[in-house]
This record gives sequence, C-alpha cells and structure tokens, in this order.
Amino acid sequence: MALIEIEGLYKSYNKLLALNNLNLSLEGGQIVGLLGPNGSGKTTLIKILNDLLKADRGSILIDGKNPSTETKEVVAYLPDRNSLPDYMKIKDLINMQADFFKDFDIEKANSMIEDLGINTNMRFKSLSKGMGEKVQLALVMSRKAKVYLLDEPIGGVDPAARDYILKTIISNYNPESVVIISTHLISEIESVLDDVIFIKNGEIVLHKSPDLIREEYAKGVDELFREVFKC
Amino acid sequence: MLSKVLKYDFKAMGRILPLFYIALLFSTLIFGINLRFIPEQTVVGSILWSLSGSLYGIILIATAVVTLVVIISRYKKSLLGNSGYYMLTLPVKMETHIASKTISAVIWTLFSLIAAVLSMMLIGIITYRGNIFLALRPIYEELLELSGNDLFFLIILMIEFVILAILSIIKTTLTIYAALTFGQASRNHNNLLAVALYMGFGFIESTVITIVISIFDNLKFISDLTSRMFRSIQGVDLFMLLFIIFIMILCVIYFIITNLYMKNKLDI
Repeated sequence: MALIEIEGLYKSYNKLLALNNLNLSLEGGQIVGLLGPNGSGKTTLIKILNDLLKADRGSILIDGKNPSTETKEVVAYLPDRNSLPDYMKIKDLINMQADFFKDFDIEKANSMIEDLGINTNMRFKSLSKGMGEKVQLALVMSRKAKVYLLDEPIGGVDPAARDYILKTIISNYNPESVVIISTHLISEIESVLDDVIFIKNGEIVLHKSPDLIREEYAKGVDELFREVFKC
Repeated sequence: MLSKVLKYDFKAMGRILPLFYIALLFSTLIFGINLRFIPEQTVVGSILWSLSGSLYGIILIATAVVTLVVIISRYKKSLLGNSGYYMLTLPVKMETHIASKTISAVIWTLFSLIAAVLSMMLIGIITYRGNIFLALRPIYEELLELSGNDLFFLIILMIEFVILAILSIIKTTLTIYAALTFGQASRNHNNLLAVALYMGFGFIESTVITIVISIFDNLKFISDLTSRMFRSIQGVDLFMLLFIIFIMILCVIYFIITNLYMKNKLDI
C-alpha cells in the first residue's frame, strides 16, 4: 500500500481552482521533489495533507487513513515560515515536541541542536532567521515519521545553510518514509531526489525519477523545469 | 491530551499577568497606607491621595485590559496566526485546542478578578485597621434578611451567583473565540469583522431574550405567576437557575460553531 494515495482532488478559493483533479500515489523510501512556480498549488496540497485545509472533493489517504488527528502522529511538517512559539526556550520546544509526538527522538534533537552550537537555554526569538530555520528543521527531522512534508526548506537562506539543510534531511530521515520537498530552487535539490513531481495550475504535469527525465528528455530536472514553466 | 495542551496554554497566558498582580499589590499598599496615615486635608496629603489613588486605578484597569488582551492574542496567535502551522499539526483534536484555551482564559480571568477583589479588601483592612468585617456586617445582615433569615438559602444563592459568574466568563470567552474564528473569513479585515461579529452575537442574544420575555408576558397566566414569584426571594433563585441554563446553552452553541468552522472552513 502506498503511503500517500490521492484521487480526484479539487480545491478552489472563491472561483480560483488551486487543485484540479490531482491524482498521486507515493511509496515510502524515497525523497520526492514537489516542484512548481508560485501559485501552482504546492502549498495548498501540503496544507491538505497536514489537515490544515479541507479539500472540496476527492480522497486522500495517508498510511491508509484520511488526514486527521491520527495521521498527524505520522506526518512531520516543516512549514515555509516560522511557526514555533518564539518566546519559548529551545529546550522547552524540544520538550514540547517530545510531549506531543511519540516518535520524537529527544536525544537526536539535542545532539543536532548542539552541533549547531546553540545553547538550549536561548529563546527562539533570539536566533537569527537562518539559525531559527535550522532549529525548526532539527525538531522535524528528529521525528521517526512516515511522511515528512518540507515546504520551501531552503528558500530564504544562504548557500552554506542550504547545504547544511539538505545534508540534515538526507542523513536524518526515516528510510522507510517518504520525504516531500516543495521548492522552486531545483538545481539545489536535484541531486538528492529519487522522484520528481511537476505541478502546474493545480495539476500534476510530470511524475518521473530524475534518471528517467534525463533519459527521456536529455536534460536535467532544472532545465526541464525552466522549459515546462516558461513564462 | 487536554492536560498537555492546557499546560502550555496556561503557561503562555501567564507570562505577564503575574507582573501586573505584583504591581497591583504594591499600588494597593501605597494607596491604603496613604488613606490610613496621611491626612487628606493638607496640600501634600491631597496630592498623595490623588496620585496613589490614580496609580491604583490605572493598574487595576490595566490588569483587566491586559487579561483580555492575553486571552484574545493567545487564541489568535497560536491558532489563527503563523503558530497555527505548528499547533494545528499537533495530534490534538480541534475541540481540545478550543477547550484548553477556554479553560486557561477562565482561570486567568478568575485570578485577575480575585487579585482585584483582594486589593480592595486589603485597602479596607488597612483603612479600617483590620476591622473590615465590621464594615461588611450591615451588607451581610441585609442579604440575610432578603433571604428570609435562612442562612442555608443565602449560601445557595451565593453559590448560584458564583456559578453564574463563572459561566458568564466562559460564555464571553467562547463568544470572543467564535468572533475571532469567523472573522478569518475576511483575509484583509479579520479584526474588524471579528469586532462586528462579537457585537452581532450580543445583539442576537439580547433579541432572543427580549422575544422570550415578550412571549411569556403575553401568556397571562405565566406573567401573573412570574410577577408573584419575583416578589419573593425564591423567585429570584428560580430566575438565576433559568439564566444559568440559558448561559450554558449559549456556551455549547458558541463552542460547537467555533469547532465546526475551525475543522471545516479554516484556512490560515
């Protein structure tokens, strides 16, 4: 059984169709790039998978269940913005994660934060943007989740931070899980992807592995992306 | 799960209120000592009375305002703002989130109320040289007479009054949460819509009460019965019980509509 099964998904905002008959099936054990320009439906899809938004029509199953409190126990989410309570100390944030998620590895989180050179007695709001994003990522990747949803994890940070973030994702995710990275910075993540999804106007226009893309189109993912989404 | 969420909500709401309680204590002592020891008739005395009284009043009002602000901002920031991307992806049911914030809000409101009442009592104790209970005795005797000199019945009435007060706080909190939640329907003017909705809910409540009273007034045998009843203390007791039931129904309605909207329509 696929970890994520989506059939006939529709979502509109007023008269604007954000997701248009989207169908998708994803197995575990892979890193998937959800690639598309701004407004293509990436974040809408991720929000629906997180049960932050209800679809108008269609079916979604995560590990065989509809998005709900149950699926939140197996889905680890890194949003595209700072969402942690910034008045809290890092150690309290770690404890809060451990409180709510049974699959959270508290030692791993402490070790990752220590590697960043951050004192866990610091308040989250005292961290720089880049450091804050790394801490958020550490808290997410310290979970042994079945599904990781990372929305623009490398947007808005410097190249060195991007390398660190990608290295952290690859070396810390549960190998039986599926990691979905939503981004429009293709060239940065192309080398880590096992599978690529192009989403355009709420529809999936391509779903292949990077190797197959190179074979069929004689181009890399980034090059094909620029062609498909040419303005 | 409720206890876990409640732990964090309670701590989050209580980050600054204790500071106001401490400030209230100091201003109470300053004001009380001024009233007790400094004669008002002198120039210095009248200035000190005025300044200490104003300080006390300002801190008292500020405590009330900050309590309200904390209740509103905790709900708005943690569920409807950026933090919603974290809080609403915890494996916690929506009704648990709403219940936890309501319980925390009610507890901190009661703390603020108790702090205010204690501050007034402290001023009374300082100015009456500890004999505040002598000053309160006439009020007690008046209440006892009204309850037909039945102390047990007076205690029942006091308990009903406390229950009504707590339920009113719960209802007000849930009304605020409902207004904030439905206010999200407007992306650009959510605060304005929330205020309008809060006033709208209040208008609907008072309209319902007016309609119900009019219906009963027009049923002669009921209006005769109620006018006889309300001349007695037992009638007041019945009225309080009916009002308690009405407030409980409102609490349930506001909780349900907020929960339904958050589950099915929210897009943060």
